[in-house]
Amino acid sequence: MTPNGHAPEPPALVVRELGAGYPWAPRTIDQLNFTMESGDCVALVGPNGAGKSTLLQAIAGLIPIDTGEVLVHGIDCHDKDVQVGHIPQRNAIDWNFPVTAHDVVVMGHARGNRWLPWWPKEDRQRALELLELFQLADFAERAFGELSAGQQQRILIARALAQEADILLLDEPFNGVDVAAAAEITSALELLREQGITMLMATHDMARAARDFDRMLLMRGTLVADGPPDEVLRPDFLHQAYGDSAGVLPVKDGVLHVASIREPVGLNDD
Amino acid sequence: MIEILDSLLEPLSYGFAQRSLLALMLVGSLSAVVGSFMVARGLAFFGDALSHAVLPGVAVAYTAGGNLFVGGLGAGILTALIIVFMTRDRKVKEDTAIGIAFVTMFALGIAIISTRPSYSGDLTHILFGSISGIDDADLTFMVVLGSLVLLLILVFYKQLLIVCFDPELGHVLRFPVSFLRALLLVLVAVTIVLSLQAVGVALMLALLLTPAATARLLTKRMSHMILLAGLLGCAGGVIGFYLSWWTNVPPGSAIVLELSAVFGLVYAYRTLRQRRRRTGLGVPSMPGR
Repeated sequence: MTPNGHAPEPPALVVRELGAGYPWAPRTIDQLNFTMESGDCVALVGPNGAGKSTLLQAIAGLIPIDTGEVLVHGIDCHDKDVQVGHIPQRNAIDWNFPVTAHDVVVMGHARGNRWLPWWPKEDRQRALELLELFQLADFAERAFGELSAGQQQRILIARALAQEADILLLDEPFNGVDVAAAAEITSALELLREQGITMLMATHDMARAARDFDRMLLMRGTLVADGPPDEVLRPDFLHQAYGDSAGVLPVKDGVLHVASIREPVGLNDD
Repeated sequence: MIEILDSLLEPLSYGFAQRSLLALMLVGSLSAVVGSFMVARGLAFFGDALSHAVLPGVAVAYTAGGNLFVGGLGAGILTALIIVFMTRDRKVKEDTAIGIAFVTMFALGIAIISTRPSYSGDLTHILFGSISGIDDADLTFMVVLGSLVLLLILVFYKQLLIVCFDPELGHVLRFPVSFLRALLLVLVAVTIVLSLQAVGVALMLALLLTPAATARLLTKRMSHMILLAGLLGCAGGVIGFYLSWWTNVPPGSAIVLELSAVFGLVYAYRTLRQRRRRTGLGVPSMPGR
């Protein structure tokens, strides 16, 4: 659908009747619908194999779409003008590759001047400013692989900002990081929120998602629930997504505490 | 002093020695530059496979009297395509596919060469190179094509860097990722075939990997690694040439031994430095002493 002349800004993201999956495997997601406005920060939750990573990769244009469509600011997500910041899971990155923190951030600028063998001065300067924004300027010349998990994630977030992405997709940034790193990533996400960045984050950490995000999408192949955390994390929805492994959700002092959500084993897409 | 200078200049009074030296410098630096991407990307095994897989193409060209370069390049590209085809639906793992494809191609090459009466001599030339046979036309061809490879790397540097480091970023930046991957493999295949006459199939891998691996130990940035590897490879060509001249060892073998010795020294230096740093951190100074 194209926006008509009377419509204001098209939504930042429209996912309509989406069906997608890896070309070599059965389709993972089907009939998926949701919309995000500019500046929305949404947590994407669901069990392993629910299709969270698949959805993020489909929006980023990394895998083909079988049915339906994904529009970013009203434009098809595969269009060359659409810029999507995608921060993959930790195991998707080669940590031994010879790059510094500054190199990684400046890569976000590569689109505009891809044929120059060197990085223009203004791109290098902008990358340095982004590192400063995330309090990483002191690590600019350090090897990327030698930094802590929290620093690495923040560098990848800074790279997405360098890309001037229309929407930022984060695939389980808290996976495999310790408490200190998690705190660093949380403050980086807070910074993104303050800057009005549209953000969709897949996570297994429902307690964190409920605490830090105003809106949650619960999915299992398709959308199970969409709304504020206290509306989404209801026993019936959780049962629908997680089956019998859904646990108890006590509400204490008006704050939602998610406890003992065991995840089903045997599904391994995410 | 003059004696040393004499012994350095003496080989250069022969035309074939000048050509050999230039060819080794070119092949050494070119292989190291291209090999830097392979080392950074963890494609060492692929380099080994490709360097052996060119054999049937070279063998067919050799037997039929055709162009060795075209034959070798054709076989290299065919092997790369077979590997891509075998791994497309992930039923066969990449390293398994590489292993099967390259040994098959190598066996095919040996089978083709074995049909010739001068089997063993021909095979030795292809396996270990015959640098003294390089003429002016060969050298010109190597310089032109080698320059083209370097030019392509320069033009595509950023895109190759990103696709090697994080292919997904390449996709979201709308780079032609599949084309760039194929381009890198073709550049490796061209480099291998260009280096064939100088060092042969068997030792080719060392030229691709060793200078790049040495440079990797000394730097944390891809651009620096490429420059340093290129210099190490070029120096390896020069030193290997003189070692070969003075000791009568084949140049390919002399270069590889020299490159490996440098790698060993740098590795030892890095290990010692790391150990010293660790000890420094691990044993705090005693107060009051």
